[in-house]
Formats: sequence, C-alpha cells, structure tokens
Amino acid sequence: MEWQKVTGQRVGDHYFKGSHPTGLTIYLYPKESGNTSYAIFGAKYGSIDNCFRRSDEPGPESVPEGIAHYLEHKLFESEDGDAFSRFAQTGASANAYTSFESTCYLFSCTDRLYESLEILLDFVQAPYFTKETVAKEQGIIGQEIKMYDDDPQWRVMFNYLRAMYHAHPIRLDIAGTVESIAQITPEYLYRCYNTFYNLHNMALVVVGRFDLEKVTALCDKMLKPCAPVRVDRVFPEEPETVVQPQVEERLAVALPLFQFGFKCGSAPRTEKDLAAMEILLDVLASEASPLFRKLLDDGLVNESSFSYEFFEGAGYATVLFGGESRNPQAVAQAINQEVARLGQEGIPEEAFQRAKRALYGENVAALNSASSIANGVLSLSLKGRELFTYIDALAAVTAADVAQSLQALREDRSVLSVIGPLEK
Amino acid sequence: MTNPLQSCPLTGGASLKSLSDPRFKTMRVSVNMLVPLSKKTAAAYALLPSLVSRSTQQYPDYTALNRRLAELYGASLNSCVRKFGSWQSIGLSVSGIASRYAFGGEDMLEELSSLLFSVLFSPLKDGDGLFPEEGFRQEKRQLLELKDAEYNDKMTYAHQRCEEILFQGQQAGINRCGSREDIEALGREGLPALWDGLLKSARFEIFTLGDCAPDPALFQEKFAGLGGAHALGPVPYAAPGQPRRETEEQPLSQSKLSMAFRLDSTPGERMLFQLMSAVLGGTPSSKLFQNVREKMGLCYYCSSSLASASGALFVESGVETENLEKTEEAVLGQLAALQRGDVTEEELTFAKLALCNALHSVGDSLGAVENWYLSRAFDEPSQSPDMAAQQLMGYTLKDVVSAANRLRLHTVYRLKGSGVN
Repeated sequence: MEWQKVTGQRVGDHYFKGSHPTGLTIYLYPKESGNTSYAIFGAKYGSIDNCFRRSDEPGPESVPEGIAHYLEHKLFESEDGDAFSRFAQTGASANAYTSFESTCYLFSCTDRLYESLEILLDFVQAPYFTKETVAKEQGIIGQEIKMYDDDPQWRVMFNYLRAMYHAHPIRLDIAGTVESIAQITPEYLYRCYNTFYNLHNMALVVVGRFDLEKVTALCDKMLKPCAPVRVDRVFPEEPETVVQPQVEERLAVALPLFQFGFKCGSAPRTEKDLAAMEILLDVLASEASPLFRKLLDDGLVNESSFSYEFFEGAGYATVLFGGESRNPQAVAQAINQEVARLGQEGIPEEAFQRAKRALYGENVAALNSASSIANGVLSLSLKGRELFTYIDALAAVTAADVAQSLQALREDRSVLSVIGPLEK
Repeated sequence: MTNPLQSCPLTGGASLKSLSDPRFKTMRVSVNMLVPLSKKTAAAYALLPSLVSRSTQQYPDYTALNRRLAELYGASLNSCVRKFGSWQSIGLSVSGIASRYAFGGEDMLEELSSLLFSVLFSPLKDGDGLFPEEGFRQEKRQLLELKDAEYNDKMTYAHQRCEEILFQGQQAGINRCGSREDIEALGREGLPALWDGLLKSARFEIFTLGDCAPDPALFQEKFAGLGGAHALGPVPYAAPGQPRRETEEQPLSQSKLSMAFRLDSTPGERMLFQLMSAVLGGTPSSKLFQNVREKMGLCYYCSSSLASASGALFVESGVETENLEKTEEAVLGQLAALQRGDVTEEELTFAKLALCNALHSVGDSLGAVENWYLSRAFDEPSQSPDMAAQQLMGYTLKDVVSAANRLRLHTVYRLKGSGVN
C-alpha cells in the first residue's frame, strides 16, 4: 500500500495516510520522543445509526436503540476469553467507547506495541455472540444506563436534545433504554456487525513510536478483505424548528444545571466552517469576553462549570452553552442579548484576533498527547475531515466568516433545558 | 526512559523541581503550598488561590487578565485545592505553548512566570489593603457552588461521605475546602494577612516542566524568606474497631456503595499496596472486575483505589438498591480470597504489567509528572516512576497476600436510591 505524507505547516508535525487494499483508511502519526503509543480502531457506527440502507440491498432497515453500544460491550468477548485478558498479557491499557456517530476500540502502551496492535485488529474483526453471553450483559449495561439516569449533566443534555429534535435519532440515549436493550439478540448484533464493521466504513490511527514497515506488514497479515459495501444513514425528516423552547426536570441536586443553545442547519460543514464557529464562540463567551464577565458579575454562572461547544454531525448541529446556575433563564436571556448586540455592532477586530491566537495555542497544546491526537484524527476522519486542514483553517478564517456564523444563532430556534432541585 | 527531574532546594521550606524537555510543545509552571489541614483555615485557604488569581496590580481587572492570557496563545492560569491525607494543598499554575510556537516572538517562560509571580506576590488590593469586595463576593459564591456541584455528582458525594466517616473528628476528615458553614462565615478582613502567612509558613513544591529552562536563581530570589519546613507524611495507622456503617437515602435510580479500609503500611510500601489494589480491583483483569462485574453482572463499575497519603483503600460501585448487601458480600468475598492466597501468578503479572504501563506513561504528560512528584513528597520524594516500576516488579504473590491481610474494613457508606418518579 502507498503512504501519503501529510505535514502540518504551522505545527511541524506530520502523519502518513494510506488506504489499505481491504478498504481500511489508516493514519500513522509518529511521535518518536514519547514513551506512550496509542492505537484506535473505529467504525463509523454510533447510536444515531438505528436505521440504515446497505448499497447491496434494497430497503432501509431499523434496529433497536442502543445496539451500537451493546455491540461494543460484546465485541470484547470471544469463544476463548475476552480481549481484556489478552491485553493484560502485554500490559496495554485497553478501552472502548460508543458515541453518537462512532464506535472505537483503543489501547495505549509503553511496550510491545505490535503484539497489542495485533490483538486490537484481531478481536475487532472476530465477533462472537451467543444467547447466553448477550443475556449476561443486560445487567451490566442496565447499571450503566441507571448510572447515567442519576447523572444530572447527562440528563440536562438529553432533555435538551429531545426538546430540540423532533425525529433525528440524536435525541436518543446512546446506551438505549432498559426496555430497548431487552430486545437485543445475537442475530441483531451479527446483522449490525456485518453491516457497519466493514473495513470500508472504518479507520485505524496509530500514534507514537512505530516502524511504518512493521505496522504495514501487520495490517497486511491481520486485515480481512471486505466487500465494498457502502452503508447510508437513513434519518427521518427533521423540521428546522425546535420541539419546545424550554424543558425542566427535577432531580436530587443542590444547584440547578442548564443547557441552552440554538438549533443550526444540518448541511454538511467543512473544516473552515467549524473553525469560523469555534472563533465565534470564543469571541462570544470565553473568559475574556464581555458576556462571560457579565454572567459572572451577576452571579449567574461559575468558572468551573460554564462551557460552550459547537456540537454537530450527520443531520444535526447545535451551538450550546452549559453549566450550573441559580437562574438559567437569565443566562439564556444574556446570551440572546449578546448575540443580538454582536449582530448589530459586528465582530470586534481585537476580540477576533485574540480568539484566533487562543485557539491556535490550544490546538498546538493538544498535540502533546498521543491520545488526544489519535482520538482527534479518528473522529475527524470518520467525518471526512483532516486535522491539519482544520488547524490551517483557523488561520485562514476572516472576520466576515465569523459574522456569517453568527446568523445560525437564532432565538426562535433556541432551547433551554434545566435540571432543578426536588421540591421539599 | 523519562528525562531526569532536577530538584533544587530554594529555601528551608521551598524546593524547585524542573523537567526541561523540548519534546513537549508546552510548558507549565506551578506553585503548590502544603499546609496541615485545620478547621480554622481550610475554607480561607481554599478561597485565597482563586481570589489572588482573579486580578493583579498589572492587570487590575478579571477581563483584562483573561485577555492577556488569550493573547498569550490561550495560556491558562489555574488554581486548585487538593487534599493529601491530613494536608491541604493550595496550587496555582500557569500553562502555555513553548516559545518556538509563539509566532509573535514572545519568551513564553518569561511571560508566564511573571504572570504567576504577580498573582502570588502582587494580587490586586483596594485602598484599605483588602482584596476587592466584588471579587471576594464572586469567589465566595463560586466556592459555595463547588460544594453544591459535589452534591450533584453522586459518585463524588458518596466518596466524600465515606471519607468523612472514615476520618470523623480527625484532621484528615476536614474537607479540602472546609465546611459550608466555614465558607459562609468568611469575611474579607483577615484574608490578606492569611495569604501573607500562607506564603511564609507553607511548604512549597514548585515545578517548571516542559519546553522551558528556568533560571533557579530567579526562583531563589522570588521565594527568599518564604516557606516553612514541614515534615510530610501519611495519616498514621490506627486499628479500626467494629466497622462504621451509614446509609443515606436519596431519590435515585441507582445506589452507591463506598467502602473504606485502613492500611497498616509504611511509606516505603506504597507500591506494594498499589499492586495489591490493582490485583483486587484496579484493572479489567482484577478480582472485582472479573467477578463482581463480569461473572455476577451486579454492576457497571466496581473498583478499588489507593489513597496512600490517607493510609486508606476505597472500593466503590454503583448497583441496584436490592443488590447492595449482595455486592458488599461479593467485595468482601473477593478480598477474603486474596487474603487466603487464592490468587494466581498470572493475576499478579497482569497487575504488574498494567501498573508499569501507567508508570512509564507518567513522563508523557506535564500534569502527570507534577501529580507524581507532589504525591511522592508524602512518602519517597526522590522516587521516579521508572524506579517505582522497578520496585513493584520485585514483589511476589506472598508479598501481595501479606499486604491484603493488613487491610481492615473501617467504613461502609451506602447511598441508597429510593427510585425516581
């Protein structure tokens, strides 16, 4: 296979990108000076993929909620033991996670990289599900679901998404519900595995100390040929409006939590679109902004919990602000007012330049860590994006691009989700 | 291999630890002040680092200071309050990119350390020599909200309650930020003197880490006459009597079980007890994970963690309310198995390899390097992660079983979920 060397001009790092004959896209990012190597093998398959159409079959097909996450748990098991035991023999620290759009298996190690990489490539390509092993996991995942049920940060986020999205599966819990996971069978797991764990739908990223030839040889040995099947996500039609502008739930909390934000259009975005929105959010709400100062001085937010994010993906996009507040309505009002003010007065040049410097520095700093690089490269790759293109885009964005992004923050498409304390 | 850390005593009560390593794209300068926990001062000491880092004489406004940080390529200035056994650690740190990435040509070490020194030595005060009223009010509110946030997070809450019961009435039982009442009672007046007193009396652990080469003489000059010599050490062992049990009820879907054990150990045995904890419940191949989670399917998480400066080990899990007793029995059953030697060479090897992997990774993160050496100040200050890895590889099954037999159950705290409507 051929490797393309991709260099980040601003940061001086480089990686090799290649397309393996089996269809797998591979990124190898050298970091010779560190002790830790990190590998992550992921599928473009997350909780939003419960309705899909394969390119080799006619109609769309639906499966129970939470199946991608369930599959992630069960893939660790094989007929002769679990993958954790195999990693234990090399000393690598292994884990996995399921997000809205991907399922990823990973390890970090300071020794015996190739042995661990062989285990990773092997177990992810070797599903083994029986009625008994599937049934056993119900209790464990049931407790994981209940743990999140009591987590106010999790609840405030999903209440927010449900108040914002009418039909898009982003509104569904990643792990599903106790009821939906009860419907999961080995047949469903095999069906989803065989559909989504096709190497054409996956990517592998290795960061750290490795020999390119050795990794290539290992991939040649371990990767199994796959039919070039494409999987299309099938989403129900989603209106541009929100379901309800406010939602509140009461839990055993001492201080209310909120999530406030705006539903944005779902058209695909480039690295430059993302960079423009990141700069806008920094101008709008960073600790150097007038808005944050006002919220702090008015006693409405605290530094340890206030956050903001542009959260977007296949068929969904929202700008959101979250944290703890004694008066979430006032926070939402202040954000709306500041958005309106920036719309009228324009983006201040000084704040724009400062935001660009700050985001540049944060991106350089993130390249210290093998795990942060690997997760970043993989997540961007599964969305058809590249790390260095994004970093370069941050420098290329203009104030006009940022002003354009502001148009997406419409008060009539906003949602406020609050978790309040129980009434005494 | 990680680069060696240089340690340089500055005064009798302050030392500078430097790791100058150009493979990092960033640098970090931090000052940690260690003082014995005291009910009288815990709340004030928890408030002070956020108060002094809010504005300085040079940047006399919260926004002005944060704008400067943003201009310095998104540098961060943070304060934190931690607890190590009976000690409170008050930290201030500044982090940013290395000078070679600063396209404006700034000397980042100079910029960042000046900011940190100005926070430490010339925080903004009003005409009466007090910290400004507005900043005080906001920081006090935020500290109280931190308490509320800890209640909101049930895993954190259950752990803290368990620790409070474990050290009830003792110095180690004082919360890292003091109690809510102590925070509420704080006034502005005494704070400047407390800050000056803290600078004079605390034991200073100062770090410069990453792509930077500090001049020790500058630090010597800045910290001259500051710091007090304290001998640090873990909470002394006292054999527990009958286990203390407490159950609290809240409307939750899941119950939390938090169990605390005291360890009859010496500071030199930290890695041995770390290894024992890893075998018991520190990794996916551990007894608790393999049995309580995988075989019995009782929980999503059930793990043990060593708090070496507290001389304690915690086991924590989230379970169905009806399974609380069963889980407690299962945890004690796994510990009993380890204590009677029902453990294989393979389990030991797996735990050793997992710990070595973690130890060899320490040098790849500036935060991890600082955490390592700050924690080591309480037992073996000069032990590097590589030395610790070497030490733990020498332990045998017999050593681990003997360590497990020196655990004594002290507290069982249960946060019982009564369900949600």
